[in-house]
Amino acid sequence: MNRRRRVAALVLACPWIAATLAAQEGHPLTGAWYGEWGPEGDRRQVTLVMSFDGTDVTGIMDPGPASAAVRALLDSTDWTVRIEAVRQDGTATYVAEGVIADVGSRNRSISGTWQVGDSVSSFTIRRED
Amino acid sequence: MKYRVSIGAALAAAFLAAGADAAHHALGAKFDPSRPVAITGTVTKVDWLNPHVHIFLEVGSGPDTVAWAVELESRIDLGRSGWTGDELAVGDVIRVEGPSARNETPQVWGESVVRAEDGARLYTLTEAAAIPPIAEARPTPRWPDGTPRLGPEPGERGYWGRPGLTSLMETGVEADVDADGLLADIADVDRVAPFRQWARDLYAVRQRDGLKDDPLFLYCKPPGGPRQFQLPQGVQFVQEPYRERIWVMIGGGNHNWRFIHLDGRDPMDPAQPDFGHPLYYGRAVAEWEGDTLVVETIDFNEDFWFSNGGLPHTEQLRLMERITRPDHDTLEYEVTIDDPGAYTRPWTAAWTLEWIPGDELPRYFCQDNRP
Repeated sequence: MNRRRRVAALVLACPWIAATLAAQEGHPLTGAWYGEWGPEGDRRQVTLVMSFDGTDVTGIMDPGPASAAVRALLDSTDWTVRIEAVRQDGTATYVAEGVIADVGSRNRSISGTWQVGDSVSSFTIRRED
Repeated sequence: MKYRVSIGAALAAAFLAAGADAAHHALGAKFDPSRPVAITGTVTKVDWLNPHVHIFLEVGSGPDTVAWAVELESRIDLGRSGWTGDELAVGDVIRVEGPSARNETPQVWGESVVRAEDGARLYTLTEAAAIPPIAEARPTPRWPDGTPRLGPEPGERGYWGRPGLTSLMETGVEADVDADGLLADIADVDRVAPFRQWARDLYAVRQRDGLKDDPLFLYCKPPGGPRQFQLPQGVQFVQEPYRERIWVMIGGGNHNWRFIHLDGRDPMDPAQPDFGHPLYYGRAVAEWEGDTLVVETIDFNEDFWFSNGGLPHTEQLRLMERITRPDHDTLEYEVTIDDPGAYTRPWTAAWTLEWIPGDELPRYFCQDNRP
């Protein structure tokens, strides 16, 4: 599914997601992020939509039948991030740890390590409109 | 001539290429005051446009010639000071001093522009002299029912400008800040407002970056919240008593407007067609308390900066504004920011605006989106 179709699917899927997609300048984790994770030669696309309720950052990974619930922590003193995601059916848990780059930009990104079970690889996601 | 064309083409290409990420901007975002330059060169073009006038120069000679761009204030600001853009012609030689570009391209902010031929100093701002002084205090204009008029009287021209404070700062805090909201001393970050940690740290990043990511300048995003009362191009009120609403027309930014409703409506009525979509200007309802318009605004989106200087906010932002016109030429503006997502407690800032007589809101559009 190309990016436009994925965005359209997100917007149609949930008004909350639609509102979050437009949020750019508030909490640095809020918004829609697109990117990939996995070892070289087996990279997988990922979509994360996160929002901040004033206390916690929560959201959804890969909206759709195989989505995962997301919880994220930000340490703004060094802009490090920890993201945990659990598939609805409990088949997988993901832990991503990284650092936000160019945090002041609307198109900021996060890069770091991505762990599924005992498998550790890299990931990069980018905040996009 | 062939040589001139190639220089001009190269300069134009560089100028346009820079435009995508260096459009209208806070001064500190593009130029570094700690790196001043002084150049003398020959004028190749005068670009008399908003949001910034540019003079293009050739500096040096032969193969060592460098094409420079000199950036000045807006055409509006320069025009108010009596400049027309015809003061220079192609071929004139000028000397320019000012801070150079942070990205080390041959660009300079024209703090001083002097024509070599006669030593004339050009493009200095004398806005204060251009606006007629107010002879004496005049009473608050009113509607027939006694309600204060926030806009011009019938047949009158004028708008509100010259904000007394150009960035949000809690009442009682004193810190040097420029017209774009950039603090003179980064150590003042912690004094500006009662930030939550992430908001404080993000504000500090934006300040250190010289406000380079300001979405008002980069993407023409509306100046929602109190920012609409901080812009140099001013605001105007249009009251519609029969429709029980007030328009707040924005002089800068993208020249849009905000509605303040006085009809007693529920701002979060789910029957509204756009309900569920937070807005740049939020949903504002108001009532008069004596001569003060008390406005409550909620349901903001997070797609803009609500103040010069880059103070963050969240969708939990709730504003209480108190707007008073104590006399014809003074507007008192007070705002209380209640955003538990970004600040640890509600806090208040206040400033005044001055009546700019005899003129309409300037024709200044961020849609021009030029470097």
